[in-house]
Amino acid sequence: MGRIRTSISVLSTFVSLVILPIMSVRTVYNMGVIVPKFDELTIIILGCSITVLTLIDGLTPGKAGALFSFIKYSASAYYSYKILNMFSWFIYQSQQGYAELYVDWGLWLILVISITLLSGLLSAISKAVEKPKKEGEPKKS
Amino acid sequence: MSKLRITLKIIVYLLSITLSIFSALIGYDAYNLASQGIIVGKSSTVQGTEYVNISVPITIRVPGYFFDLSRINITIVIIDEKNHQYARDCELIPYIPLGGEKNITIELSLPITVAQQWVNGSITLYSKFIIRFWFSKYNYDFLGFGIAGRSELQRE
Repeated sequence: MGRIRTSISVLSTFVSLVILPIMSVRTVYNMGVIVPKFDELTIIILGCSITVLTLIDGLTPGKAGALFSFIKYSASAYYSYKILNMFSWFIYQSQQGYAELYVDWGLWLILVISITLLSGLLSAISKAVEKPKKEGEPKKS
Repeated sequence: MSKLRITLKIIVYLLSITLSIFSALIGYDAYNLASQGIIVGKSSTVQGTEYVNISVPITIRVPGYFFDLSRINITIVIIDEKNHQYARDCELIPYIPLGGEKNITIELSLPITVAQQWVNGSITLYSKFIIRFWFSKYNYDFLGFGIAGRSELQRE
């Protein structure tokens, strides 16, 4: 993977896995909605770990890269499991009334994790079968 | 080898697109259900010797685009500030297909002594509305939602 593509990938991973969830919870909190199960520290730790794995995956070619690619997707599947469970209970309280929303992710959670793991496996295989660049071949950025 | 790589990449992209389409469909159907799917009608009251019977007509419609609704459980509870329950009734609808609708009536029996205390202003009563349902398709329950709302009963 080119360095520019890796940089974009790392940046978008960090924004979508760390910045966006934290910002959206803070935004809805200002509107009176509490997400009681949300744990900011877990999101930061998991999101940063996946960002680092995305960087290693992008910079490592061949079979080692394929392994990192699969580890990254597995970590993403675990992240999905954790974040969906965090977003399963919402409380809205105002002077007009009180409301709660529960979400049971059920089969959807299994579908998300399965598709993420399958994507990881396919991505790792595609990286493993990638032909190594020959000596003297100009590098693509 | 290159063809295999490209094919695998295409499958990965297709899988992620499928997941995104399903997410969008759930969001769209949930929005439609929340905005026009649950209609609570005007309640009617009949006073008996020991109880005040309150009937609340509710219509559930499935105005979405893809998902059916299943295992719909609607409960109304009358409580006070300390969450003490005075009346409760629930109805279970096993299944409503896409585009379908179902009418139900929740019957609550409030003890007349409690109703008198509420009319006198010595207690405050709240109605708690709870609805649980699953977005389903092809007999599979994909995603479950539970919504509970509490509001103060207003004296006329």
